[in-house]
Amino acid sequence: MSRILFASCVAALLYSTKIQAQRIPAGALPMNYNGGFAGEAGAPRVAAFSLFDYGPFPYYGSDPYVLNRGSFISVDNFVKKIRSGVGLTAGHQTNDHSYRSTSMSLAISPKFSHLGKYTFAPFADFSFGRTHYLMDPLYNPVHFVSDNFSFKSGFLLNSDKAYIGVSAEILRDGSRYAARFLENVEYYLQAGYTFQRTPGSDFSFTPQLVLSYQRIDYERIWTYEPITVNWLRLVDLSLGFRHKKFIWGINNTGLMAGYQSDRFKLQVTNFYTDRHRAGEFANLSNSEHFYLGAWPFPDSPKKYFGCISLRYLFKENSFPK
Amino acid sequence: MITEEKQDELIFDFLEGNLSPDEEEAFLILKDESEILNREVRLWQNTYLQEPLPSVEALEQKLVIQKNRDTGRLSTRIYAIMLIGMTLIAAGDSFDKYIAGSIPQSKAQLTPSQETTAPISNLVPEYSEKVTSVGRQILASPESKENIAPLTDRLATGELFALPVLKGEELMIKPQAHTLEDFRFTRPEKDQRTHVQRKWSRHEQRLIRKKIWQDHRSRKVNEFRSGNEPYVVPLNTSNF
Repeated sequence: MSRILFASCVAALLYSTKIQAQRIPAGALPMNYNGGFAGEAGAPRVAAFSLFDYGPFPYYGSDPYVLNRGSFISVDNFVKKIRSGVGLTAGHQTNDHSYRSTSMSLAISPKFSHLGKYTFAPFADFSFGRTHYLMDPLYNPVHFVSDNFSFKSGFLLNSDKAYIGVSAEILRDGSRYAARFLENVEYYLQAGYTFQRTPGSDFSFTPQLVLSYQRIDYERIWTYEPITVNWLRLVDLSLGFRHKKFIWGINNTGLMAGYQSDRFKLQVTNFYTDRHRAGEFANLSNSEHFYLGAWPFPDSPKKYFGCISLRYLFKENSFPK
Repeated sequence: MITEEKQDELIFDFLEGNLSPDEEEAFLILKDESEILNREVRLWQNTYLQEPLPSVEALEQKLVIQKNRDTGRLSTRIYAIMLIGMTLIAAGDSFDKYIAGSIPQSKAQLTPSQETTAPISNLVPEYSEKVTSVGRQILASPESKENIAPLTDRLATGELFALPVLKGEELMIKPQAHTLEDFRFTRPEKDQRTHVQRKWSRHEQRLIRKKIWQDHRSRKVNEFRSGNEPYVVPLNTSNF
C-alpha cells in the first residue's frame, strides 16, 4: 500500500510538471516526440499548436477549476547543402496554480534515402527550458526558478505512407537537480500508417501511436529500499479519417475535426469528461500488481480539454493528388 | 658607283622634289649621261596617277546604305500584291456570276419554260445534232408542255440527247436540283458528333490514379539513382 501511494505521488508529480506538457496529439507539433521529423517534408514548414485544460486539480480538495494553457510554434526545413533537416520549436505553457514554463529546442536530422522510397533520419535534439514553479510537490505555495537542459537522440524511418521513430532523452541537466546521463531515460515510440486504396483516393484512415516508457529508480523515504518503477504510457492513440479534404477522428485530447490539404492543415480537438487521465500503466518491480493510472473522482466536476493546431507547407507537395 | 637601292631613292626624291637644287642639278646631269637612269626615271614617272584622288567624303557617302529612298514609285512587292488581289476579285466576281447563273433561284427555273422547249436548237445549239427523234417529238408537241419532266432529269436519262453512257468507274453524276439552302453550312447535332467522351468506371479511375502514382514514383527513383540532388521521401501530407 505504501508503495502504491508513493508511486501515486511520483505519478502526480510527473503529471503536473511533465505529463501535462505532453498532451500534444501526434503530428500537431512534428518534432515534439521525435526530432527526425525536422525537414521530413522536404519543404519549409510551419506548425502552430495551442492547448487548454479546464477542470479539477489532481489533488483532492484543491481549487476545482484550473486553467492550463500552452502555445507552441515550430519551423523546420530541409537544407540541401548539409543534406539535413533543421527544426526549431518554441513554446510557453502555464498553469495558473503551479508553474509557468518556457521552452525552446533545436533539432538537426541528416537524411538518408534508400531507392527513393524510404528515408532514414537520425537526429539530435537540444532543448532548453525555464520553469517558474509556484507550488512545491506537496502543493505549498512557493516560487523558484528551474533551468533545465536536455539532449535527445533517436531515429525516424518513413516512407510516403508509414513511419516509425524512436527517441530517447539521453542527457538531462538542471539547476535544481544533478545531471543525469543515461539514467531514468524516457523512451518514445511513435508510429503511423495510412490505409488507402490508392494514393489518390478520396478516403483514408490514418492511425498514429505514441508510446512512452521510462524506468525510474527511487529509494523509499524511511528505509531507503530501492524501488524501480517501469512506467509505460500510451501518450497518444490518434485515429484519423479523411474524406477529400475534411478530417475527423479521435486522439489523446478528444474528438478531432478539421480541414487538410497538401499544404494546409487545421485540426481542432475537444473533449469533455469526468476522468482526466487514462491509458497509463505502472509496474513496481517488487510488486506483481499493475494499476491503471486513472484517477477515480466520483464527485469531481467536469473537465474540458481543447487544442487547435495549424500546419502550412511553403511548397507544393511533390506527390500527385 | 650608285647601287640600285640608292638609285631608286634618288629617283624617288627627284620626282617628289625632295632634292636640293644642287643635288637636282647633279642628278639631271647623271640622267642625261646614263641611258639606264633615264629609262628608270621614265618608268617611275609612268607609275604616277594622272587623275586626282577622290575625296574622303565622297567615299564615305558611297558606303552609306540608302534606306529611305523616296523615289515616288511603288515597289515591286506592292505591285505583285495588287495584281494578285485584282485577279482574285475578278475571279470571285466571275464565280459569283457562275453560281448565280447555275443555281436556279426558284423552282420555276427547274421546269422547262416556253423558251427552253422550242426550238431545241436555240437552247443548246451545240447539242442540236444529238437530239434524238423522241426528244424532238416531245419538245415540239405543245400538248406535252405541262407534263414535261424537269429538263435536268430528262438530260440525265439520255431521253432527250444521245449522251454517252459511262460504265464502271466513269459513271456520270446524276444532276440534282440544288438551291442555295443546300450549300449552307449546318452544325451537326450533338448526338451526331463523331467525338464521344468516354466515361471511366470507378475501377478504371482507381487504376488510372494508381498508374499515375507509380509513374511519378518511378521518375523520382530514377532521379535519385542518376545521382541528382538528395531526395527526401516525405510523408503524404494529405494524410499525415
